[in-house]
Amino acid sequence: MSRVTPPTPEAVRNSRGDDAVRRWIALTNGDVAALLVGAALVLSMLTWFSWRMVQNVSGDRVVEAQTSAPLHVH
Amino acid sequence: MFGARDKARVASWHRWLGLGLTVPLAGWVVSAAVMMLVTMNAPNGLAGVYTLNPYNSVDVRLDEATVDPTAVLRKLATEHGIKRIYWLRLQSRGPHLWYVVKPTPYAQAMVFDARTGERLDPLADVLLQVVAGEALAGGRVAGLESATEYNRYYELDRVPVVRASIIGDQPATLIISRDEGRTLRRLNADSERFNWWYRTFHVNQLTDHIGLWTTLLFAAAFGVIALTLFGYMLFWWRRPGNASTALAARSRVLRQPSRNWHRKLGAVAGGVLALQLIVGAYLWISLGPLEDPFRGKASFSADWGAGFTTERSLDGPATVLARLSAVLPPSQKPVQAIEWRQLGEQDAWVVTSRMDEAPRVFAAATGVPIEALAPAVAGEIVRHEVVGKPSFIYAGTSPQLWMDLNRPVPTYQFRFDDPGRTDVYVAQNTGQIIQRRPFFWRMFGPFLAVHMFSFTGIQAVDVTFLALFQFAILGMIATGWRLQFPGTRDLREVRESDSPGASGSDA
Repeated sequence: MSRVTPPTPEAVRNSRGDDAVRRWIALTNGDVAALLVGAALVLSMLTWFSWRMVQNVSGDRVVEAQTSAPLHVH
Repeated sequence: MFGARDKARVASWHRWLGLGLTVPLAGWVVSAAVMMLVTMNAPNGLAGVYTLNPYNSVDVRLDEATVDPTAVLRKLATEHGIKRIYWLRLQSRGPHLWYVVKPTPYAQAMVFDARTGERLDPLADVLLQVVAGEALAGGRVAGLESATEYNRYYELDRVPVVRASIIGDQPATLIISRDEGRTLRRLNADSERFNWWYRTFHVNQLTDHIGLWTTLLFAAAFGVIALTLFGYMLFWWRRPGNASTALAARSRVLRQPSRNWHRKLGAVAGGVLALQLIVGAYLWISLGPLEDPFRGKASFSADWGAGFTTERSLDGPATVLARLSAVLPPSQKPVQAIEWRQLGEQDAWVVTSRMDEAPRVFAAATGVPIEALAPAVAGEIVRHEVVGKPSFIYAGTSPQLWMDLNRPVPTYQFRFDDPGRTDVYVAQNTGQIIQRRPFFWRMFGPFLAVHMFSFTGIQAVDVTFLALFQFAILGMIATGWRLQFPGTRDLREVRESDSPGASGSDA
């Protein structure tokens, strides 16, 4: 049977530091990065959309979506 | 601002909305992938590529008509009370010879037998079978089915049609109008498949009750937007370092791959998903409940009064053919159709030598070919077909797809000052309106481009981007279900981390 040795006060202080670092890594390495990518995608799409919309409604020429198929051909 | 109970409630809503909306959400994603694959390399998109039958299968000379066009006009005036018409056409179909009358540009046509004068419309199945059999080269009719069809050229909401199944060299389904046997749409295997996935899983229109299904569709879309919002709220509350998120709970989170993936995919793709739903809702409003104004039907002039009167006289087919014998291309086959039209101040004959080619137009007074009307003349002709007969500006030329021929024809573009600020595309030689595009439709392009991820115009890039987004959504769905129904190993781990000694709780 093994005995569990209680941590020393110094070890507790160190582990607190480790937790903070681990927390920071988790935060910056994953979640915040994912959130930033998501926000960048949405902003890019909105910007691109606004640019195309201005082209379409202000000019004489309609810029068609570059799609292979017109959705409804009636 | 939000207490623990509120957060638990949001978590519950997120969970149950996610589970409940799995089927529509997965259906939208999977159907989008299928539609993209179906049309990715399709030449001419959904319109397809067809070889039209160049000549009627029976050599019927148009001057065999025993009823002359003037007699048809008198009949219209006396028996039907029609004072003006848009055009009159004499055409052969199989062994038949018909006069087709277009009373207004957007009305259903009337058909009269050119040998007996008998009125034939709406055409019986036996006649439509002949028409369908003449439409595509090397085609035979396997069957007809009555239906109705939305079409942007008619003021009628639903045009009576038959769906003709064609077998032979070019298997297809033709949507043919009952009034005159006009081909309104051609469907090949790709466009049938696209249509099925689009209606069933992408816009969820399982029957023709557009109000009901649109309500359900929008409710589902709203639900997914709420789901996304709740997801971001949970993402924020459960962030590391938040006072309410104990470290033990966080470490449990990190040890659960499905939870980790769910968070990451949600953070990356959730906003794009919400944006796509808003854009998709706009697209469906255009193509569904508000299709009439979208397609430019709101710009139809109700008091159209151009064309020509039924009191006048027209040259008979024998006269027309004799006058044009020197200018028509020599052919072993008889001329397929003659159409009498009024183009501005002048009478015109629109002559079809081959049904797979655009007709030629001639000035009736001189027999001189009209390659293209002057833009001002074409604009003035169509001004009568736009509500309020408003002023217009000439905006250029472009080729536009004409469904009747299934190919682009050269058009003039005019921008009218009607309430819908409609762009009208007009065939340069006949003055026929090929397409109406109100402001409402002009706004459609950017929405569609965003919805289809058509950002760069480089197919490989756009399709890869779209596919990544679709995988992210499917991944979110899969990991969400995994979180709700974890395997026995995960359950054991969670139980262990929840046991005394493993402190903390998830927000």
